[in-house]
Amino acid sequence: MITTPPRPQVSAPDSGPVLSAAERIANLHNNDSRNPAGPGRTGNRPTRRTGKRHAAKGSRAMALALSVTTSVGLAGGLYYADHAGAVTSTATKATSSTRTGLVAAAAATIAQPAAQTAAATSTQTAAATSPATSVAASANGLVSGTYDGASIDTRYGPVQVEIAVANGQISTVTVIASPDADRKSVQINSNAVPTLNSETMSAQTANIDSVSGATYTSDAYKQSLQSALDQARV
Amino acid sequence: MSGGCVPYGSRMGAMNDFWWYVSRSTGIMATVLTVFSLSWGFLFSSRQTGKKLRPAWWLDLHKWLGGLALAFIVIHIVAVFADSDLAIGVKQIFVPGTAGYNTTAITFGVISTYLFALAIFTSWPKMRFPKRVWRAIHLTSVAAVVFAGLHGYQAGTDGPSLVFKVALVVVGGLAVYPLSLRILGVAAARQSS
Repeated sequence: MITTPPRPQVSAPDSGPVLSAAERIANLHNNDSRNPAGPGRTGNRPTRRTGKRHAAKGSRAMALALSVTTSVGLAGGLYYADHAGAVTSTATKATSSTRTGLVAAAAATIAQPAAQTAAATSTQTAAATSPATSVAASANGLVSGTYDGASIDTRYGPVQVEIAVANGQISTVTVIASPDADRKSVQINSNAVPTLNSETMSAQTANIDSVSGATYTSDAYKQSLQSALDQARV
Repeated sequence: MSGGCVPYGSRMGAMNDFWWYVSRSTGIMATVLTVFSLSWGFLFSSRQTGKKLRPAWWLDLHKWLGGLALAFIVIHIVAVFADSDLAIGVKQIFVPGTAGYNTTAITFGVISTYLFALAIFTSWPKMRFPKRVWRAIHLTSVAAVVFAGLHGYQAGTDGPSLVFKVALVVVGGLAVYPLSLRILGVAAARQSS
């Protein structure tokens, strides 16, 4: 029979006073290195941690401040550039349009009788050679020639359309003026104007769809086009 | 194309102008931040960060710049959506190729946003991915920056201006140095192994 040797008597370490479960958990928490109060600290006051959570905390704040400031500055700068450009372009436009207007007026005075003669001749010729065209022309009631529509003001600038009529049909549509005071208007109209022109060519009337996102230009375009068509019918 | 557009009042016009400038400035800023974030990432991964600042600093700032760039992209998108003159709706924002005008350029922007968001949102659960897979996903941010540059150049109102072109070249050039360091580092590591 084997007898187990008696265990050496080891005196139990002094465990201090008996702790409740809550106190033991609190002690564990205090010794935890993740505790913001730090190991062994029981106070509620947070102390400086040994490892930073965000190594670039200062640089982060600087990057944020710089980005926001630059963005606001950019917006202001772009606004200033657009509006300074608008003033210059308006001034230039006024000078050039006055000059162009004078030249155009002189040219119109010389060209008008010739155009009327040409229109009459072309109508007569068309009537003589092609009765179908003549019927179409009379159905539309459009007289051949070039007609400038009224200049319609929008809050972004004037819109003016010019049409050329041949054989009772709109042969070409040109936008003489469209809002171009700022880059946004230029961008919007660079998309809208070709669309409106092609719609006009297929519809052959001013009853066309507006271009989404270019409402002002579309409405003014239609009004100017209608006035040009009205002139062509006289 | 849609008929019967509602004319805007002057207040709406002023708000549109406000959003217009917000969208332009945040778009430019987002592009610059993506380039900076990319540069920081390449410098960190190529271990060319010098001794003055700890690698943790570079990594932390790289992550922060990426997050900041994404925040500016979100503001840019919100501003573009809010500006009713531009006719950019939810569909045009989320689905590539659906914009009524500048279709290619806007598509570049949409794709760039998706790629950049992918790179950022997969950074958080990085440990869940195999290292090679995560790296491949994270490298899509390079394509995102290229697409963002093309988007800004083609769709942006400021694209044709000389200042914008010069700035684009300078900012792009800033990324070339860290990128070449990274490529050279990878090539050297492959040769030695």
